[in-house]
Amino acid sequence: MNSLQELFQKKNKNLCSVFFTAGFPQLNDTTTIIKSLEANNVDFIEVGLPYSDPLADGPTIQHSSQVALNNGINLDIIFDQLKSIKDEVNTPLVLMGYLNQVLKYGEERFCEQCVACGIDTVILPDLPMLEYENHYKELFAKYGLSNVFLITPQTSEERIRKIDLLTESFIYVVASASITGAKGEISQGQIDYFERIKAMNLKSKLIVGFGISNKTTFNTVCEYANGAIIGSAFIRFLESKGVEKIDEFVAEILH
Amino acid sequence: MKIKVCGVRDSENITALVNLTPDYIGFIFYNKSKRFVTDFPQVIIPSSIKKTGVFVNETIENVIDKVSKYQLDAVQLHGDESVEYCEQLRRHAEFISASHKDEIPKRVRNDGFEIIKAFAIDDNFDFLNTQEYESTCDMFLFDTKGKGYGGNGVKYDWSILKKYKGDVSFLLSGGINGNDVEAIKEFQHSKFIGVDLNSGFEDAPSIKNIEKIKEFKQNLMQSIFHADENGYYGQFGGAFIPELLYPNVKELEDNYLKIMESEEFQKEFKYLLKDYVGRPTPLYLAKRLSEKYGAHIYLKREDLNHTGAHKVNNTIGQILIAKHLGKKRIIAETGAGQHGVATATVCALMNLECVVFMGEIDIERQAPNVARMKMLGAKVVPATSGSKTLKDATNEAIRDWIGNPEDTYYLIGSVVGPHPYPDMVARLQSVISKEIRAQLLEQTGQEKPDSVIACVGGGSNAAGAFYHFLDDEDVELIAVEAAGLGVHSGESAATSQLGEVGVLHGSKTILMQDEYGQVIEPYSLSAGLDYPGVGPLHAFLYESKRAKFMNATDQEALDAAYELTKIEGIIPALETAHALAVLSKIDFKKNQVVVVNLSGRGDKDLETYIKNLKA
Repeated sequence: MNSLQELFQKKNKNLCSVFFTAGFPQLNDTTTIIKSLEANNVDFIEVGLPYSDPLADGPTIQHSSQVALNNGINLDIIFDQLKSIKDEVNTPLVLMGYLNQVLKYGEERFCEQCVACGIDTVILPDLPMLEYENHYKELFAKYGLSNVFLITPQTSEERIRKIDLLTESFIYVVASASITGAKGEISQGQIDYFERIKAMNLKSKLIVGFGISNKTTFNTVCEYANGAIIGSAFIRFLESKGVEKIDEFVAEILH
Repeated sequence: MKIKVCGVRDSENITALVNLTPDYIGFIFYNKSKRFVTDFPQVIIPSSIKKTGVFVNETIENVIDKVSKYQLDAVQLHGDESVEYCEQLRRHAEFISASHKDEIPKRVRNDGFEIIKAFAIDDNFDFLNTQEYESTCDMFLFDTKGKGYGGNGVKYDWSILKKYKGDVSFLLSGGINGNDVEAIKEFQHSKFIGVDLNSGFEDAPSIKNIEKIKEFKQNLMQSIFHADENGYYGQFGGAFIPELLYPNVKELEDNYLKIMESEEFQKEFKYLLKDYVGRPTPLYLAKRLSEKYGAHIYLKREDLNHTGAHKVNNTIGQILIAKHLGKKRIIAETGAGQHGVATATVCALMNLECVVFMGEIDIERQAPNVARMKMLGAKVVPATSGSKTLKDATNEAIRDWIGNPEDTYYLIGSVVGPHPYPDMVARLQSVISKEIRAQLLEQTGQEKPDSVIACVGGGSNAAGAFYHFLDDEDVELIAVEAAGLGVHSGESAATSQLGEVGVLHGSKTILMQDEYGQVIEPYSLSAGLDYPGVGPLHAFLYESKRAKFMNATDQEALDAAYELTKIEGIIPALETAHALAVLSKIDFKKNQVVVVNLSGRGDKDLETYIKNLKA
């Protein structure tokens, strides 16, 4: 059983996940942020691997990635940072990056490093299902890694069913047809979509992301899914308030 | 690849076979064969298929008798026929040829008949034996050595044919079946031109399984240089896209071939290329340039297209596809603004909304093109992320598409992006090489040049200029990349030299990246060539060594542009000038026929040309 499956056994409602970009705002903030999110009872954490051309991300996350890269962040430093807190942190960590980073780093080497950091779940948005099945499924299985797939309002039922079968932890439910970044309110169209997915009775947990920015949006989507991921809103908070006030941010969402 | 289907006699079976248009159909006139033809079938066989009689140690008289009686186009000698025998037969062939000169025979042939000599191959075969047959035979057939003469239905180790150093082309024969497609594709020999099929494709002796042959032929003819069903060229290509883009790309993938092959599209596309774009563009023999470099240098004048470059071939095609898909809004990325202008142009023509993403820095550098796009009614949106150039404009366009999956069509400007874009754009640009073949045939009597040279940024003009020559191994393909200040200066865009395998903008290709896979911003004075990747087709052409990759620096390109302007009166685009710059680096053979794809005109680069012109 991987760390997320363990988590889901204990808790399967109102799961709160936070995304942040490794190496942002400062190179060594990675570990501080993780520890602080854990201290504030965030259920699982997505660690963004900064990439030069993050196609699925909006301006906020792209900007944070660029800052992190300028700070000198790279995969080796990130893995070292994660190894250094491996024994102190119990919150499941999920890596979110782009396929080219894995290709260049070496697919096996990347997997080995994940295992060394105690990471068992990755999100690679530009790794489509076909390529995953043909080239990565076996490799990931060998290292006990599970891959998270995204679905959108346009994803067909047939494809969602297939993704459900390939999923070991959760399906990343993209809240709307758009890149990451806060949108404000949840529309009726989105609610219809969440209800449609909920009614499919999938075996996988459903975590909603993209456009979840505050308590209201978080609570709304948690009525239809097992939890939600907050990303861009947290990045903006870090940029303006810094890493010392993370408790305020989480408190605003959860309390 | 020639296909000969041997050992037929049933009329109905032959009629079905003729529809598959094999190159040769063989009738066996050897009475010990299971496929011996006693009553010659009365079937109309088009003259494009050569009727071949197969004989084993037959008398010359009988052979000639069958040739004239059944109007055979070829004679295959499958026994122990001597060189003298072949010489005698050759004289008959020449006699027939001479005697037919003054009449108009039913089957239009005045060259007698072809002589094909079969050899039975085993490990001990001495290929010196074939030498003396070379002067009288048109083709050889290398069959498996067995107890009888042919018809053994087993294969031999084809690698022994490496020992064959002769000049006569040959067919592979002996037990070939449907499972041999990959092995045949991999088999390399400069004189290997085709395969002989028989028992491996039969339901019963002489009764061919038409479906099996059809499938075999399709698989065999599927060029390795065309994208496979998942958009791969070897290891390159594919569609590495976020799920957010899947429906958009899938819709296009499911429909692009259907649309492009429809009569309606073809008619409209051809009409617009002719009357709006001004095609065919001339193929011009540049005499002074030829004299200077000691070769016959032809310029394919894509610069004479409407909007001044090859780009419009693609935008015309894609805008028609977008219309067929019912899209209302067109988005595009642009670097120097050429593709943006070509897109804005066709959107004006079709009355569709047009949004062009352009790097903030490029907007400053390319003010005239920005003005053109606006005048054409397009909205130009600055890409302010990353390096604020082409790759960021591409990212922004993709993001817009993610947010507008239903009404918007993303019109990509090169053979890059996720499948089906590279294949679709290559097909639309292939009109360039289609015209080159026809024009060269008309002008020189040969449809194939010795070399084709084109510059490569993403690679769309090169893909178009290479397309119809990809499978002609005797045509050298030369791709020229921009070396900026020098390949290893740190300021370069020579992707094949500096890049490594990776994923960029949705496809697996070769791209310039650092040790952690972060994309490196390339440099070239020419805004159309500073792309950090190349299209997946070009990555494959590079890896497979099918194309030769050369490069030219900023200065070499400038010099080539000034030279062409002075000696031919043509001001080329700076991108195109890179292709011209390698002429001075190639040691041409005497009479070598070279086609340079003159992809664009230089108006847009005048400022750069004036600034760099030495007094």
